[in-house]
Parts: sequence; structure tokens; C-alpha cells
Amino acid sequence: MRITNRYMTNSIIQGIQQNLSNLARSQEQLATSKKLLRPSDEPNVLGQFMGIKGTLSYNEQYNKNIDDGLSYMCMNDSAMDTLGAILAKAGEYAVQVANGTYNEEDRAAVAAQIDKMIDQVVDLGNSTVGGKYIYAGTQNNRAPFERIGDKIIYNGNYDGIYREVIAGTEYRVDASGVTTGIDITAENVIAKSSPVFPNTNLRQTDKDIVGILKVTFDGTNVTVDNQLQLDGVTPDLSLVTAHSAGPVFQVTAGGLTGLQVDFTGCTAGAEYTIVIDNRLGVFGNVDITSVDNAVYDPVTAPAKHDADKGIFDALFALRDRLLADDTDGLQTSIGELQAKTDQLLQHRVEIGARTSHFESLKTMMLDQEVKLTDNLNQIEGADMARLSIEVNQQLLTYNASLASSSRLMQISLIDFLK
Amino acid sequence: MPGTFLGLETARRGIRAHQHSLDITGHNLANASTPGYSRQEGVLKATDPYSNITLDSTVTPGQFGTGVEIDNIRRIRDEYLDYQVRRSITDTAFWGDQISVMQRAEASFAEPATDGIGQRIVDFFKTWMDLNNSPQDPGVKAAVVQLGDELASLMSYTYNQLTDIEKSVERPQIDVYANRIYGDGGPTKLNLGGNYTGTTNSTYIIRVDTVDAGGAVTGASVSIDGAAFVPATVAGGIIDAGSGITIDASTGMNGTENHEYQFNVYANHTEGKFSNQLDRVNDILTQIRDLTKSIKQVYSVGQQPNDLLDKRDVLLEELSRYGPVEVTFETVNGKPTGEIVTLKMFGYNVKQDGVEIKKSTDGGQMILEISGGTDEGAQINLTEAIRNNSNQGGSLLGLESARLSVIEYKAMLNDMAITLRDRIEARNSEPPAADHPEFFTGDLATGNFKVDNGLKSNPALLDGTKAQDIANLREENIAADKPFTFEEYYSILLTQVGGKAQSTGDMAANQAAIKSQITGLRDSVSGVSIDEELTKLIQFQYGFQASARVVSAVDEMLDVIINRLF
Repeated sequence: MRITNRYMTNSIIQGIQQNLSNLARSQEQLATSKKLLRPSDEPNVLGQFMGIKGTLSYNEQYNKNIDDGLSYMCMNDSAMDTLGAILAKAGEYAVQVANGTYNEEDRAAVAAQIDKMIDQVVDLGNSTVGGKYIYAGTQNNRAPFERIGDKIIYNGNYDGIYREVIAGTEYRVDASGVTTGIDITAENVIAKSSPVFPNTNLRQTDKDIVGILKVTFDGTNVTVDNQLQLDGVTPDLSLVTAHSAGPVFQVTAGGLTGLQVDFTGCTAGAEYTIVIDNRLGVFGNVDITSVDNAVYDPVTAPAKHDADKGIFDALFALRDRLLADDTDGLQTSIGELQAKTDQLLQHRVEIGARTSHFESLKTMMLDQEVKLTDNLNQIEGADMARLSIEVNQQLLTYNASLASSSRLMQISLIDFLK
Repeated sequence: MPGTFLGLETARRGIRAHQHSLDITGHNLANASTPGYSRQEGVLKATDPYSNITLDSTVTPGQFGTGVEIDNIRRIRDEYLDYQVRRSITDTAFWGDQISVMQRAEASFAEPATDGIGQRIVDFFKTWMDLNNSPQDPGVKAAVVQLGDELASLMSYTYNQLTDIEKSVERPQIDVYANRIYGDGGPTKLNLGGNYTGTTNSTYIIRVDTVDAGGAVTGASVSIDGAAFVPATVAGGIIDAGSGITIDASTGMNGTENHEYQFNVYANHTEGKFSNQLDRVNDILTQIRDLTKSIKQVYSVGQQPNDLLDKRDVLLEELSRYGPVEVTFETVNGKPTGEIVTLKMFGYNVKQDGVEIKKSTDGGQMILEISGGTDEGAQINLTEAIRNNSNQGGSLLGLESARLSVIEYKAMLNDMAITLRDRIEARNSEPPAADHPEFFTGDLATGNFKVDNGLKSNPALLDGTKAQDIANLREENIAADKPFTFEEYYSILLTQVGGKAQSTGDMAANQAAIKSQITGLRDSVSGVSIDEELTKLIQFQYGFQASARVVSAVDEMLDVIINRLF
């Protein structure tokens, strides 16, 4: 090949440019200690990289959620602890004054004390953590329990407090303060996007009957697709044997006789699951038929079934028996208080189990973080040792190319001509 | 027997030829760094011999050398290499012009090192989880609104940057006037409303379009400065406002009942890299035609237009940067005449005087149209060419490819914004739905994608009870036909951006290497080597000196004859 000066010049310039751009790239990687600086650096691992970065960031949030959940559960636990102590104290009083040596005045004095205990229970129901009322469902910016005379009213809602502590999984972090005994959930997309949600306004007559109903609303009528026991698996066809036509679904025969759910306004094709469960909240049940969500109402109380009886029912009953000097009734109260303590314990155990679950999740999260950070480093981190050697090599090449070209450019036949 | 002074004449010719060769060497040295210059060489030839025919001479006349002359000045060039160089320039320019655009597009995403949109999406969903932890907390609500606002403005910013990049490649027609009317009451005159007064010396495109399907406009015309003008309904009518115009659209429009029409006036004004390059193409074409005329003239008087030929080759090379060029030259009896037989660009004839390549856009497609010549009206649809993966090379096609990529990125980003907006709204509307403002409003294409103004001024309006549902959106597929999450969608976009930049960069580097190899080869044939020229310089210098010595020797000889014989 015939070599010309222009060819030499071009190849020298090209060589210097190439060497410099290699050096600049290595320098950039050394300075940031990362090899992934632009999307075009390694587009095929970009998806993975962004994914891990996102997971790490979300883990931070999950940690925060776990901590928040734990604070909720601790408060729940301590509230229930105090509640237990109150019940024990009330039980003690009941045993004490059931004794014949105490007279009517003594019992009245104890009744006054029990009344103050009811106030204390209301206060416990209004426990807060970080300004949020823990027994108010998601309506947690105002006190849920209110005592008006001998009536206890619930101002919160019935939604549980959930914390997402691991991708896609939510756990309940509160013990429900009160329940309605009936829980309706939208099943399909039509139900979820329906402008109106079904409304329950009457409970079944026999409140000990529990179960799950799967229903579909076709625009005019409601059909029962399935009847199950509470386990959600075993069919139980005795729950509804007959029901009314039209958008208001009323059970006319079967175990759930009396149950009424209003589907007026729901979109045709909506599917719902109705869970009828008599499990009590920490503070008992709310009477959904009452106007103002009464937890305890002395006027309609007799109409309420035993299964609905919560702490307030037991304490009010005890107070009333003391005031009425009903020594035989006190024995019933002692039993009731014991039953309430057991029920409370059940909630406490649930919260306790969840607490230890959350703590182990926290450890897992920590473990994951170490591994993911390591992964991330492998993807984006530069191999510093290798890079340093490479830079030295590149410097050497650059030096050599500069030295040789400067020498080459100086030499010309012109120097040897006279 | 030759004459007494033949020796002097022979030596004189030697002196002249060498002096001329020295001049040529000087010309080569002077142009050692001129781009496109090909070295020249004086072709030395012995002059016709002198035959002395006498009575006693043999049948074959004896020949006497009479010296040297320069037959012609050769331009050292390999036509096949020229063709290869042009081809490789075309291929290199396709990638080379693309990479600069693609790198700018990549830079506007600011990923993955910094906190770009990807991190903002994660942060945005994280605050929704925070809101779920404290659904009534006004502080957290404000944080959600704030992060939503940041995400929206970052997406808008990136989108606008991409728009700027797109516009730097080619700024489409600018909509200067639009008016919508609803045609009711049967086939009737449509008053498309208002007048538009144009600026002096601008061209405008006037269109009347149906907004909804069907209901074609019949007999549509507008009056321009009193004269009727019919705008084509789809392609648009172009008018030139030489001395400024007033467009009155209140006359002559017939619409169909219950259809909506839009009357548009676009300034037919384009700018950007694409248009600039097209201007340059037409400029080069004119220059080549002019040069060819001069070259033919020089040839016709029997001379070698070497430097003009170099100039024309440089122009042809620059032309091949913009698109594929085919060129063949005329030869008569094996000798070049300087005439161009065919000159084609994108396969269409552009040889004749006055032929220009013009841009005609249609529905966002980039179409080149040949104006004048035998291929008058032929269209080159660059957009379709890119979509069909037919790579003819050239920077015009490269720019179109880059522009289409940028448009695709923009569409994806906008789709992401719209889906995010709609999905959040759908979640907010699920029962039990509270009265709520829409979280995000608008979209990126119209430039008003943002958090609802009401929410911004009063974040407390945010419904905290839906927070977990909205936070859950991050785990869900964004649509049935898009089975991936928002983050994954963004990752896909980013991988596309990065992948395109990487592959374009690789291809650009490849083609540049090929180009440098081929131009190197050509340089090795046509380039000037200073050492070589200096060597020749000495050779010619000695040849000159030797011839001069012959003159002085003959002089001495003649001196003897003339002065000393008697």
C-alpha cells in the first residue's frame, strides 16, 4: 500500500481520538465506580437493574409499613391488657359483693365504681397511636366510642387496618374494635365498578347461624349461587331455602331468615360474597338496625341476642344487677365477665401471633436487602481492580501513540535536502 | 543529417518538460492537505523522431531523438474506489446522523444513575402506602400530591425535551388557525368562521377536515382576498401569500348534517436539520450542473480540467452523504468528455437543470418529491422506508429513522401518563366512591399533564381510604394487552431507548471504520506523499540542470564552430 501524508494524518488523528475516548470512558467508570452510566451501556440488563432498584426502594417502604404495623399492634396489645385488668377487677368486685356480708349500699357503691370502669373502657376504645384511633377502622381521625348516658355509640367504620408488608400481601394489624356480624365484598369487576354498594339493614333472627353466601345481582333479582359454611368450602344448603324477589334480598326461609340486603342501584351482573359471622370485636357488635350505630343501648338491649354481647353489655348488666341488688344475677355476671375475658384473650393471641410474624418478616427484609444490594452492585458496579489495570494499559497505548506520531511527523525528506 | 541547432532544441525541450514537471510537483505539494485533491502527474513522452532521408540511406529511415514533451497532465484517480467511497459515505451518514439524535434522546431520560422517572414512580407509589398508613393525615396527603406533581412535571419535562429533539430534526407545519363548527340543518353552507390574515411572503396550507367519520365536505372553498380557493380536504391546499392574504372561510363550504368540521390554516413553514439538509442537496445539485458545464468546455478545447473534476467529485461525495447517489460519466472513444450520463438520487433522475427534491408531508409522514425532470412527481416515502426496514442509507433517511424513534418514545411516555391517570381515577371511582377530584388531569401530548389544581391547592380533598388500592396498581398489569406493571413499562421504554442508542452507536462506529478504510485506500492512490514529491522534485531538478548543461555544451561546441574555425 502506498502511504500518503493525508493517510498518516487521518490515521494519527483517529488513533488519538480512539485512545482518548477509551480513557474517558474508563475514567468515568473509575470516578463513579459504576459501569452502568447510560441506558445504552447495557440495555439488556436494564430491566433487571431497574427492577432490583425498585424492589430495594419498596423494601424500605415495607420496613416502614412493618414498623407502623408493629406500633399499631403494640398499642392494641397494651389496650387489651388494660381491658383485661378491668375485667378482672370487675370480676373481683362481683365475687366480693356477691357475698352476703355486703349490703345494698355497698353494692350501690360498687355499681358506681363499675360505671366509672365503663368510662374507662370507652377511653380505652379511644386509644390512639400517633394520633390515629386504633379501634375506629379507617375512619381513624376521630374518637370512635362515645357514651351518651347509658348508650354507647360507635362513630368509626368497619374496615380493618391493613399494612402491605411484602409485595402483594396485606395483613391486618388491628383487632377489630366492633363488628357488624355481616361483611359484604365485591367479587367481580362489575361489582367493583358499580356505583352503589349493597346495604344491609336487618340481621337474621337467629344470630348464632353463620355462613357464607355467594350471590349475583342480574339488575332486577338476586340469585344465591352458593351457600357455604364459614370455612368457605363445605356447602350448607340450609342457610337460605327461600328468599324474596326484587333488588331487596330478604331471606324468608332457612337459617338466615330475617337477613335483608338492599341491592338497589347496583350494576347488573355484579357478584358479591356475604359473610355472616357472629365473632365479636374487642368491644362487641354494632346493632346495624339502629340509627346511630349503637354498641350498647339500654332501651333496645333486651332485643339483642346473647351472641352480640360485648364488654359493655357485661359491664352494664353487672352495674344494673348491683343497683337492683340482684345477688343471684351477680353469679351470671361473673360468668359473663369470664366469657368476655376469654374472648379478649382470643384477640390478644391473634395480635401476638401477628406481631411475631412481622418481626420475622423484618429479619427477612434485612436479609433480602443485603442480597439485593449485592446483586445491584454486580450489575452496575465497576470492577475497580480490573479497571485500574485497563486504565494503565490505555495510558500506555495513548503515550506510545503520541510519542510515535510526534516523532513520525517530525521526520521528512525535507530535513535532508539542502 | 540534422541541423546544427537540433541539440539546442532538444535540450530546450528537456528544460521545458522538467520545469513543467517541477511546477506540477509544486502544485501537488501545495495541495498536499486539500480535501478531495488527487495528485497529478505530467506524462512525459519523447517527441516525434527526426528522420533524415538521403539518397544513400537504408529503406528504414534512421531516427534521431528530438527530446521530450509533456503529453498531458494525468489525474491519478480510481473510479471504482470513488464509487465505493460514495457508497460507504451514504451508509455511514445514515447511522452517523442518527446517533447524535439518539444520544440526545437518551440523555433526556437521565437514567439509570440519577433519580429519573423510574425512581419517581417508585416513590410515588410509596407515598400512597404511607397514606394508607395514615389515611387521614393531611401532611401525608400533601406529600402524595407533591410527589404526584413531581412525577407529572418530570414526565412532562422529558416529553418536552423529546419534542424539542423531534423539532430539531424537523418542525412540522405550524397550526396557525383552527376553528370547529357543527354542521346541522342538512347539506348547507358551513360558515367556518372568522378570517385569518396571513403574513407577507409565507405559504399556508388550508384544510377543511371532518372531525368525525363520514360527512365529507362538498364544494368546499374559501375566499382568499375575494377570489375563491378550493382547499383539498385531506392533502391540503397550498397557497402563497406573496403580498399578504386574508382568508375568509365564510363562503362556499357545504357540509353534511350532524357532522363536525374543522377549518385549519397551517403555516407551510418547516425548519430543522432535515430541511436544512434538503436545501443543501438542492444547492449541491445546482453546483454539480454548473461545474459539469465548465468541465465540458475545458475538455472541448483539449485540456484536462483536473481540479474542476476534483471539485465535482467532492460535491458528489457530499451529495451521497444525504442519500444514495448513482452517477455515470460519458466517454467518447475511450476518452472522457466530462458530461454526466446519469445522476440519480434515491433512484430518481436529478440530472436536468432545475430539478429539485422537495419535501411533501402527509399525515406526519416524511415524503420527498422530485420536482421537474423526467421523474417529475416521483415520491420517496422515507417514513414507509423506515417502517419496511428498507435501508437505502443517507442522512435524510437516518434523520427520519431517529425522528420516528423519538415519536415512538413520546407515544409510550404519553401512553404511560394516560394509563396512570385513568387507572388511578378508576380506583378512586370504585365503590364506595366518595366525591373526589381526578388525581392526574390532561396528558403529555397536549402539554397539560398535571395533578389536579384543586388537589394542589387543597391536598386534604384526597381520599385516603383508596390509598392501598392505588398503591397496589404498581403490582398490576397496566392493561390486558400490556401485561406489565408501570415500572416494567418504563423499563421497556428505557431498554428501547438504550438499545437503540447502543445499536446505532455500534453501527455508526462500524460504518465509520469501513469508510475510513476505503477512504484510506483511495488516499493511498490519489493522495499526495510529500516525500515522494520531494524525491521527484530532486529528480526533475537534476533533469533540468542536465538539460541546461547540454545547452551550455552545445553552446561551447557552436562557439568553436563559429568563433574558432576561422
